[in-house]
Amino acid sequence: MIRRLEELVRQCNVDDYRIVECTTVSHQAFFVKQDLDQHRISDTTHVTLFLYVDKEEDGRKLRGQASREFYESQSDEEILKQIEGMKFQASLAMNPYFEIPADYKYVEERKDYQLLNVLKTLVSAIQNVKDTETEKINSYELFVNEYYYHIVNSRGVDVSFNTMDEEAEVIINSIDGDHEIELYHRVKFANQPLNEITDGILEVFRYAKDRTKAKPTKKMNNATVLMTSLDNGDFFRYFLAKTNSGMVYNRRSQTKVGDDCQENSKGDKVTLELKKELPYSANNLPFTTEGVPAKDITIVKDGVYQSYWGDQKNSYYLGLKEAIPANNYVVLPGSKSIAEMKQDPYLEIIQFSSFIMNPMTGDFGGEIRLAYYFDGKEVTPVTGGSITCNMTESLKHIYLSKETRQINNCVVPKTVQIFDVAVAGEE
Amino acid sequence: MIAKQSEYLLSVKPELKKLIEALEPYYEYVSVLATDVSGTSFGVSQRNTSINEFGDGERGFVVRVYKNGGYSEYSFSTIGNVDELAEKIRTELDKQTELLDSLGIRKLETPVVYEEKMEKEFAGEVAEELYHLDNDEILKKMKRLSDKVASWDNIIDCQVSYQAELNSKLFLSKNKDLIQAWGVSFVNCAMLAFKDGETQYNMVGDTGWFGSEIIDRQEEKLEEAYKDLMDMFGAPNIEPGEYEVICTPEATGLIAHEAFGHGVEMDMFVKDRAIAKQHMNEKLASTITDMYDGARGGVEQTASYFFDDEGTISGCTQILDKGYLVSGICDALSAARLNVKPTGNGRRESFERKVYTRMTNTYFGEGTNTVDEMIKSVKYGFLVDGMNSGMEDPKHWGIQCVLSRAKEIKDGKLTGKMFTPVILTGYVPDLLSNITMIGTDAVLNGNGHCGKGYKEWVIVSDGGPYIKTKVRLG
Repeated sequence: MIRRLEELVRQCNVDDYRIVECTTVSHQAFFVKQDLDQHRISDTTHVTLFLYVDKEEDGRKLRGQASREFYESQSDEEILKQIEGMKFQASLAMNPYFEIPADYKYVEERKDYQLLNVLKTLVSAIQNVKDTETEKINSYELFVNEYYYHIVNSRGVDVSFNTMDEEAEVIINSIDGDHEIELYHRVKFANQPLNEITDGILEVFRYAKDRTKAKPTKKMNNATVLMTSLDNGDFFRYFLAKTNSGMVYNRRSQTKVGDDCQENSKGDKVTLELKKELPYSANNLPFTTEGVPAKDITIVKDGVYQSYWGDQKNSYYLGLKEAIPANNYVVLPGSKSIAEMKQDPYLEIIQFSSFIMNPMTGDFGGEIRLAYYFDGKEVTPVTGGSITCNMTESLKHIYLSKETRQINNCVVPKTVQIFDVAVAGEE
Repeated sequence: MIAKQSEYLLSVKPELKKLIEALEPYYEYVSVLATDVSGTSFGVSQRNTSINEFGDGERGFVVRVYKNGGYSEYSFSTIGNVDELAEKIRTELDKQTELLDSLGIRKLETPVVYEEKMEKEFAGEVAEELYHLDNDEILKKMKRLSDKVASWDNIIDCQVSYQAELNSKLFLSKNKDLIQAWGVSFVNCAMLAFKDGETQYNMVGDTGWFGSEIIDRQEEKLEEAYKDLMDMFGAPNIEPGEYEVICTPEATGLIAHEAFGHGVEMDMFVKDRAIAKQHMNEKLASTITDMYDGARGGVEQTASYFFDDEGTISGCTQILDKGYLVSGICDALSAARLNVKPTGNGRRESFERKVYTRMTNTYFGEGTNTVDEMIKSVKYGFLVDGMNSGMEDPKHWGIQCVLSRAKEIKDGKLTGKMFTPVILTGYVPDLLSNITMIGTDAVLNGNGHCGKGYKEWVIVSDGGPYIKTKVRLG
């Protein structure tokens, strides 16, 4: 389809074009307890055309863009008519001119990932997780996906590559007398050793057991909070949002390269690096769908913003040579061990009901699904209540743990220590 | 005008019928859902203008089959040769079945779904312009709004987005031959302001079975939204505690959605993940509280349709009746497992994904109180507004709603003091039992997607009138 569409768009006198073809094969299995609910296969191809129309207005070069998906079932006449419609739309949607990537060639033959075997191994591993007397798997969903991308554009880009990923969503129950609770566990990965997947589930078993005994979180005005949840990946995405070229160009972020977001701060400074590859990440794509190669680059070093990143158009506007994709990211460890962080009273949040990070305002927080409160003498599991913090304030005094953990496409400090947090809870 | 059925779906219908015939000798049940969803997405801000295909657009197929007590599905985007396709579906699904059987996995035994014979075409009222959008005029309207807001003090941008979507879906099985079409519009104006190193934003929007006239309707809302936005600067965090709270329709909708929207999705009953299963027909809210979910028969909004993704005719389900939990919402397979009737709530994120029980348009029923009466009744409390996000907890009836702001009320009057942001948390039956006043006019908005857990995003709407309750804010 991609070549046919390319032939047709070449007849239409556009200034530039890009076509992205993505074929996805997905094997999926759904379980209630350990019984099979249903199983699915999805085998689909999506072909999307982006076309660009240029014009000059008041001496300024402008570029308009339009996009839509095309289908193999469409006739040539229908496609040509729709391309003409897109040209008209692009001529109305004018923005400052930008260049599209050029000349990248990369060809990977389509691999056979043996998805069925991967699914079999994954199902088998989770079937072998034994319920305890009080903890059990309530239900789970497994997805094993392969993707084959082919990207061409009018400036000589012609790249094709394969990738695969796996995803598990597991619901875990724990019962204490007639009090039953659940915890949610979702992981996405590629080729990760299965014992790490099942160890992750067993870790949640332990947390679930504690949640059955959890007391309501008490209201506190100046708590020291340790964030040890899987949401730490999203916590550090704040820095990516602040430096995203689209956010900056469109003034959603006021960040400038060279700004120190931790000037005069106490504690650890944040360093965040983009990585084109990370073992077991589901995001190890050699190119973006714009046809730009992945890169290693430092975004924040010791609290100082080093670079923007983002798509082709907005990166061009900010003066970057080309787009910088954010496949994977690594936040360097801090100066304190988790044990050191736990010397004094703390509230350690293990799971939020839904962690919220608003990079525009810097507000973050959420309702506490499970936390541990240490009053200086003993540790008590707690649940309920919430925290609401602001990143600008929190960065003035923050510690990152020496221990790190990988959460799909990022490696981040396992625990983040923040201070003077107001906790909404039982009075 | 009446919405047109997809010519593409009509053209492939004979082939899909052949596909069903080719698969029927091997399975006890075969159905096909075919989707053709298209649309255009417009965006105008001070530094960007865009026209793209609507993000939820799709054209594809999913076959559901039943054999030996279990269901499986195959999604595909191209038909090609029907016999070859049937062979491929059968072979690939058999391989998957054999693999799962080889692991000795038990099936969650499920009866075959019962389908009454039905052949019907459904079409909603749709704005004629959705079939031939005046791109230029739409962008001009949007730019006018964006420019107007951008001219105000401290505003750094106003992003106006408008989406027009045309839906058509075809459902075929041995007993059913259904096709439907409808059209929806979404508009959103997000204003962004920067002052003294602080960034704040606010938005207004509207959705429904309309045309681009809903863009114009936003103009009257902009000044009030701007005033709220400016009041958010320097606003402190709220002192955590339990307060008397008045919820605007937007906040009311979020509570409806997270409380007894997710809480009564009956696929969660099958998994024993929803505590509501043990409390049907019990009083869980104050006696003035009614709640509904419905794709048809109640409201026409972004999640309205005539039949769901399993071919079940949709309706309106009353969930709370004078405070009593009287019904859940259910997809067809969960209904078969629970031996109840499906309610037309079986929805897919796309033809590539599984059906789950999903909400449609979820809302509280109307009451008799005015907003003034509510405010006057509050000794000390807050008026909360501006939906950011929410999270369900059907197992424990916990609720989390993140809202943009809380306006202080003291001795029956708004003081002009604002707090931001606000996380509303609590225990659903407490929150609903504490409802003491309900406003007269329900308003729904469908400018959002709802996930199941953290995935499977579908378009929903929610809302209701102003309500007064007592709940924890932090």
